[in-house]
Amino acid sequence: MSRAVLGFAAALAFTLGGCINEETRLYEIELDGQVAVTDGAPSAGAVHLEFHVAKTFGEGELAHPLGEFDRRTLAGVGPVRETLLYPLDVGDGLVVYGWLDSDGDGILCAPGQTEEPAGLVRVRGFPAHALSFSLTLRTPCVGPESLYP
Amino acid sequence: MKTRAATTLGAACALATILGSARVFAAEPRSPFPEHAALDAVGGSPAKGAYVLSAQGGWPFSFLRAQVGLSRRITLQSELESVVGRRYRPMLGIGVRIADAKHLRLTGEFLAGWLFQRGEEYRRGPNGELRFRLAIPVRRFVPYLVLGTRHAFLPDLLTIERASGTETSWSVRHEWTPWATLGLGFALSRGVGLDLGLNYGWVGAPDTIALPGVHLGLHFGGDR
Amino acid sequence: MFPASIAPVFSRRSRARLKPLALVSVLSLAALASLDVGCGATPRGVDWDGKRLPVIDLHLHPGDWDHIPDDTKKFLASRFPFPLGLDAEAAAKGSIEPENVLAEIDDAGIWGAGLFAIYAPRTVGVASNELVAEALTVAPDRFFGLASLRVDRWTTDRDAELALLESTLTRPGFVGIKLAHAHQHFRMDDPAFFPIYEIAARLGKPLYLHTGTSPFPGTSQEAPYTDPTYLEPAIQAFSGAKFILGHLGYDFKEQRNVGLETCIRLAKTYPNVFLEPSALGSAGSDPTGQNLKEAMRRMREEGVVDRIIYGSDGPQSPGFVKGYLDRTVTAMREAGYTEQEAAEVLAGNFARVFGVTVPAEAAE
Repeated sequence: MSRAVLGFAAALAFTLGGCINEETRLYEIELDGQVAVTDGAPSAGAVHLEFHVAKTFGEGELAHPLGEFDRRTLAGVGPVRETLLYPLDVGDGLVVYGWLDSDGDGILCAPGQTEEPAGLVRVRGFPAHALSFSLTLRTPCVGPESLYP
Repeated sequence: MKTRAATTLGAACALATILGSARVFAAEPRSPFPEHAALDAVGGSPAKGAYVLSAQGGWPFSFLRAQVGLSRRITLQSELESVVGRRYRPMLGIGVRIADAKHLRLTGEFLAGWLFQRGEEYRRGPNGELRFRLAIPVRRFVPYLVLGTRHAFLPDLLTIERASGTETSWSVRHEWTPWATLGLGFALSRGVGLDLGLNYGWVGAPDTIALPGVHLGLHFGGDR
Repeated sequence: MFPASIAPVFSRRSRARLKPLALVSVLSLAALASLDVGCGATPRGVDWDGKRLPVIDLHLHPGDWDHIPDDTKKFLASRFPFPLGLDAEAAAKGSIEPENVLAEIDDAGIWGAGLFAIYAPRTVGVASNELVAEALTVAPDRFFGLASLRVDRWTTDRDAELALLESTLTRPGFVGIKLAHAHQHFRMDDPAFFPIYEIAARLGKPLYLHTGTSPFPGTSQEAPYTDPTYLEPAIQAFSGAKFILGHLGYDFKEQRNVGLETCIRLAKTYPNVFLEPSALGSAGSDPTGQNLKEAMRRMREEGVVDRIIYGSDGPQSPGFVKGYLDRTVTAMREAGYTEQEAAEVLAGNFARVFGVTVPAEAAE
């Protein structure tokens, strides 16, 4: 390889090394699933979904379960098809948390409301570009911290 | 307590030096040399064939600077700026002498280079600066003002791994630094000068707060 | 070149001319230096119409830079004025070490300080109970510890964490419990976490609770994690526990007194509710100072002065602790607080709630 080419490669490497500030790596996931409530339970209302890493890459005491990276709102219970961009440098594993907004106020169980169910599932098969899940909303008025790990 | 005492002592000594020097030099012939290193350093654009080397140490900004006069009006310059040892700007540029009179020198300078910053946030990328120097030489003293605008461009890289392949894209953030220096140069001789300056570099304006700084400079020049 | 050019400065004729100047310079130096003499220590307490009132600052944070998440480190670095943020670790360490906390309260004339533990790995980081226990040894007569616990693995580690909390509360110097639902990501009304309040009630250790939003990255900003309304079930269920509503439900993102009236209502309704106006009145969170003044005025108007416990949320930066005390005192004066009311806010209510005796030297 000629000196000129080597020099150019070195300059390019130097330039690139001195050029990147923030580097963000995302992993695309096509997520198919089903959101349901328990038999006989009211099912009217929008469904709010939160997508979390199952655990973060923090070291020692800074490691913790869960870490929300995206959220979506569905018109109601039923089939789900969403495309997610998973942050590879934040954590590992995929958890889906959801709750039914029966009264449409955007708040899970505001004072006086006790019947909005929530649920959580860890998605199997991560990492893969195509994943599926099944989520049943069965526990009223709890955040993901009460359902996982 | 110690800091205040040391600052007081330093200020008193500087005051005594200036007062003493002023009286001493008042007895010497007036304006012995119209062009000198201190004027070239703080006013910019040394004459054709002349050069000036500057070292300015201070907090938080320190500089190493070299200027060479290419023609009557054009100067080539290089500089390295350091901020508390964590942020560096190596730069190359040209200066243009815009106006020149017995008690006035106005210089415009354009420089380009790179920014390297380490700390909780690393920053690196191309950097450019446009500035103007106004110097008012009066015998050995050169009060001066520098006003400038600096622009750093910080590239970020986004990588997305899809089933169909990996795609990358770049975006660029902009860091703006308005700059001002107010100072006083002093010619010890035609080839040696000092300067004391107050600096304000508002790094990351307008979303940040920046502290003002101060520097003391030593300048060597020649070939006049 | 250089020595030759400056030699004339030191000629005999020049030295003769310099003598009077040297004398003037020495005299000037002496005059200036005399300004540095005789400053002395800041007197303890706040001067209120000629009387000195003792001060206890409930809310101070010792810390460990290495136990702060990277995003929060960047956030904190961005808040320092340039160039201090370039070495944010050095700048922060100077603030969060317990010796510096002691220096800050001394500069402010404050006698006592509450030091908070916190386990919030998703947001502000971890300041462990052990770190606070060590910090207490710096000034065991003046520092008061508030313990905390991890809640991020509650479904698996609940019993162990509760046992650890209870054990910590029995150690010398620990007078209460610190919780921050928004930073620790657990709902204020979730019964799964009520055993924490049971411990507080049983051991007689008041609970300090962060209420309101927060500017820190990773914070849960939803109402059930920030709105003090959601604490009402716990307040009702544990009437033997004391709940201190920190920051008065302030919205730090919009810089508004969003939760103030709710906090006042809870204090008027329940005898086990107390109010703490820290941080909301800082220059960064309340640039005009009007929000803190409004809060202090409204609390006096509604007759809940006996529930107000002063806190700053320092040390943050040099001078913050003193500055926040000054702003709070100004707000109290403008709202017409009496000497007795100011004394209650600044130290009396803390002493009563936490069972602490304020010595005479706290204000002299």
